[in-house]
Amino acid sequence: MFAGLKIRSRVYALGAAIAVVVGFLLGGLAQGLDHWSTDLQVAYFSARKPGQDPRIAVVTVGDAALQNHPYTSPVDRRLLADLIDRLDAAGAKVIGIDFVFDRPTEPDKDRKLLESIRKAKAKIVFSALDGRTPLPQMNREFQANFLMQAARPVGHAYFEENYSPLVPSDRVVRLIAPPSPAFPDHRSFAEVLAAADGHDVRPITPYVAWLLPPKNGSETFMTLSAEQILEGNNGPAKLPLNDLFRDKIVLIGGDFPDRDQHLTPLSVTKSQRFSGISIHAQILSQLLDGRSIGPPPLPIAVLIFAIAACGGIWIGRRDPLGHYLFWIRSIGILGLMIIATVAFAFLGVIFPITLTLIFLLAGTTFGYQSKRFFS
Amino acid sequence: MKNKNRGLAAFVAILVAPLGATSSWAQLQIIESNVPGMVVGQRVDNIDEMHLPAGGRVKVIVLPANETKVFNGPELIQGQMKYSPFGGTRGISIQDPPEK
Repeated sequence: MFAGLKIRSRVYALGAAIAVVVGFLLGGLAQGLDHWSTDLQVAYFSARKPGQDPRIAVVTVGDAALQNHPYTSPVDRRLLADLIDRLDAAGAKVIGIDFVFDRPTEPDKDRKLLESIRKAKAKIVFSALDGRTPLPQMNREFQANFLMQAARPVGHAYFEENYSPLVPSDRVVRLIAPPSPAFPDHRSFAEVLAAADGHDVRPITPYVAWLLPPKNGSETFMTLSAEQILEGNNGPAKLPLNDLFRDKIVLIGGDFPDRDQHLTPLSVTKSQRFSGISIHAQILSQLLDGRSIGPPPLPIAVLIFAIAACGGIWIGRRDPLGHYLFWIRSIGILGLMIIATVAFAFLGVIFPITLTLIFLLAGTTFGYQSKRFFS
Repeated sequence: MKNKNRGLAAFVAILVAPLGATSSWAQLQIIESNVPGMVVGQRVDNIDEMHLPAGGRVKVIVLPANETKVFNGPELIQGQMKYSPFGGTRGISIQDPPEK
């Protein structure tokens, strides 16, 4: 009778353990658990180039460029048309436009923008919203009609933020958003930009592989404001536009303090926010380089958890009185942090540090209890 | 032998000279500045650090590399509040209040 009870208890315990693990995985908690360590690793140990990425330039439209305009949203389309004309004349090979065109503005400005797009020698790429943004039907139709008239490639504008049905999202951009299920052919803006440059590549993992600022102290990407471009060589800065933009992929996007600013893992120490266009530039650079970061493949992860659990059981059975539990936990956490840092810095692998620690401690507890009750 | 060494030294000097000269040729062209005396359009010799007053920000193009670089002075506003208004006055941090 007691033997039957023991077996039934073990089955219940096993079932409960499986339910907890499955719940963790389905709830997204397993992924969220490691953000505290992964974000730090990303912020300090991501790739760093010796100098600025020579292939990509960013042009930002902000409040300063629009100070004499009566509205800032939508961004004045004559200004956008003039920007495209200047960058095209300067020899940009691809121009990516990261603005939403979902409503009309002044008809002559809308027409001028379409003219500039049509006559540009550079390849033009748009970002656009899809069914994931609840736009009114009128706006959806305007966007579709505008993009159809422009007749240039379009990528979706989204980033993926951590989402869990059980806890509020921390709204940090860590992932490249996949295409919408309704539009599976709509790849991301950065992917379409890379394709326009002749690199038809897909991200190896959904994680954004961030670039840290270069070793020589310059900005990650050459970044200039719209007003500087429009003034060009005639302005006080006397910018040599041809030298700056020839054969570059130029991304044009907004940089306003009150919209499209995002937390990323690079925000970890100062909570600095990054403009959407700078994040697109990061993803584009990663695609062009073929860089990637990501968790280990599932079989490797399972192996890591199994080793941690078995190691924990082994330790627990050798310390049935729990005298060394404090040291086991402390050394376990420290050891895993070192392993995780080395794995990220040298292999770009996001080591599942928290789950491994849970398996290690669960194994230790199991080993400790099994020694007490089953021997 | 002495002459041979001198010749070798001169040869090495000719080879190495352009490497040293590259950094002295490099210049910084100021394209944004809120610091008095640092005027947009002005060119200064390439330096790794710029000592600016608190809140000072100077953006330059490094020539001839055509890379943009930003120099910042000490921050005027400390902590996370400088990234307002995300949530405006409502979204403050209790660990880092705006008024101290």
